[in-house]
Amino acid sequence: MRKLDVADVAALACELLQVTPADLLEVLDVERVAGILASPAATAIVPHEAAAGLLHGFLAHPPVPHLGRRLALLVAVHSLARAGLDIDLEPEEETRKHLQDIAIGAATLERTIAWLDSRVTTQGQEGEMFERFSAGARQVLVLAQEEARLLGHGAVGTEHLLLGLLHGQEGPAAYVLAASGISLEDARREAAAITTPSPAPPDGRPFTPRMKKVLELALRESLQQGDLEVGAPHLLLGLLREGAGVDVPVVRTLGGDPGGMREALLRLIEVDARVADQGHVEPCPAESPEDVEIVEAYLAGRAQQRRLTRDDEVRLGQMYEAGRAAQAALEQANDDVDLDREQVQQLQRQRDEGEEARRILVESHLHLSAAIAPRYRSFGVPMPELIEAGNEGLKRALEKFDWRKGYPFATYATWWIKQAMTHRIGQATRPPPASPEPPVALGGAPSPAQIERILEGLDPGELEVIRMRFGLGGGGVHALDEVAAHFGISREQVRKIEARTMELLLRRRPP
Amino acid sequence: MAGGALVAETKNLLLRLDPALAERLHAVAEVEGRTVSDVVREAIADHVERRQHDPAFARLVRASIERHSRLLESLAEDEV
Repeated sequence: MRKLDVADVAALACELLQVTPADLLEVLDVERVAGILASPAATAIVPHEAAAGLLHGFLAHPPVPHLGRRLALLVAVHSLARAGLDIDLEPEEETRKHLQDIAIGAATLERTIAWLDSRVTTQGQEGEMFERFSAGARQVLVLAQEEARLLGHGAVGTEHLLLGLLHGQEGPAAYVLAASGISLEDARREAAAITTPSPAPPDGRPFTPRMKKVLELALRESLQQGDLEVGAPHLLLGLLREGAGVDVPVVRTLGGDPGGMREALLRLIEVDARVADQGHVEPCPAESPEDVEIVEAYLAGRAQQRRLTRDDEVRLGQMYEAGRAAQAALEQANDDVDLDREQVQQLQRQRDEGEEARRILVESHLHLSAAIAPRYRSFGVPMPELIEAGNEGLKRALEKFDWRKGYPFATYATWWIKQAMTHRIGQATRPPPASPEPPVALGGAPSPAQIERILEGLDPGELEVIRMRFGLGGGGVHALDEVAAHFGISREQVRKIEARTMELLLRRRPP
Repeated sequence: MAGGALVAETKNLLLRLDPALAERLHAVAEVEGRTVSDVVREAIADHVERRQHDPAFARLVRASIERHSRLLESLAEDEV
């Protein structure tokens, strides 16, 4: 959008005074207006913050005599209207008092920002609002409509919006939903349970009032983050913020944590923006370890998932299934069925293709284990073990995956990963095994040489710790305590090095 | 809405223009028998007027003034 400029302010002043521009220019301090418009407070990205800056600027330095308050107010209101926002300034007395406070320097900018924030709402026209929706967000709304139709519901509500979002394949919203373990199937069942079917009006399914509220919240979320468009992540943010909605209980019933999802979303939206700006993200040291893990896992997944569309998944699922059938046929052939050489070759090719499909499917979802594991941290099972268990779950998910059902593999995999992790936690309450097991990498354990190559990313000291712990290069496996004592460091430090190595292993698996 | 008393005062502005534009400005002023300042003032006024008549701008402003008309009137009392 074009920036608010001097001509806008001059034209607004003309409207207020009912004078011609030529007459106005006789009395307007153009330089002063330009100075206020360029001030940092007035150029804030968030509309109501900029409006507050404009109010303060124009009230402190009125550029036209006898017009300070009206002009300040109209410029602020106009700047909000340009952003599609309306402001409620009733009761009149309160607004007059606040403007008076600003003019005499008794109100801080922060107070004005808070004052405006509580009064700003989205402008009514739905059509105008949707102009701000990204193609992705519009697609989600179309899918929500379609879900409502399939369920025989007469209006489109927040539960359908959640379903629309669950169709997503990539981006922060899809990622957070996949990691939360909420599946389209479960959510659909919940939606069918909470809403009774009703006929749709002849002119199409309307949005429920709560749905409208969520859309409004989504718009505000996007504005608050300085995003020009409302995207799918903002829709999910709006959904998670609408506390009284049908949606959040649904999210909770399905095992999601609205607060945690919201935080993860905000982080990932920021990551996406930073990636778009700079092409990469470097986690800053102040971020909590959970944050860094979430972000790293997300980025790893982002790079790989980008290549896997739903069609890819179906194709890979078909290949994997054909590969397994071929493997079974080959085994049978050894026993009692006669196959000619050409048939054997074809079956072998199918088997190998299936194996390759399996590898791609698993690798493009490895990040899920790393993303889910931190949530089970408090149960006392070390992260590497949880991730390892998660990866076993991932393999199991692939065995059970049915591409005919049309669900994203991630949704399905998340469930199995969680299942495997909770199972491992259950096991951990029993007496621990005598010695640690080296991690089981997917697709068969990597050779020691492969491990050495992967571990090149560690610093030499850390590498020695890992060598001793897992008995790389001979010497046998050592317990945490033994390694700690040997190097004169704490048990916790060894555990951390181990955890870091596991992450390296996950991210840098050799092809 | 009634305007307050406008007190006219002039202010000197230093205008930096590229030489070609400055020359055209001088030419226009000379042909029309006016001062350069006069032509510049007119140009700015013209610019503001075009903004005033921009349909999207006019629609938004009218809606805003209508929406907050009572408040704007009462604010006029505060700025005598």
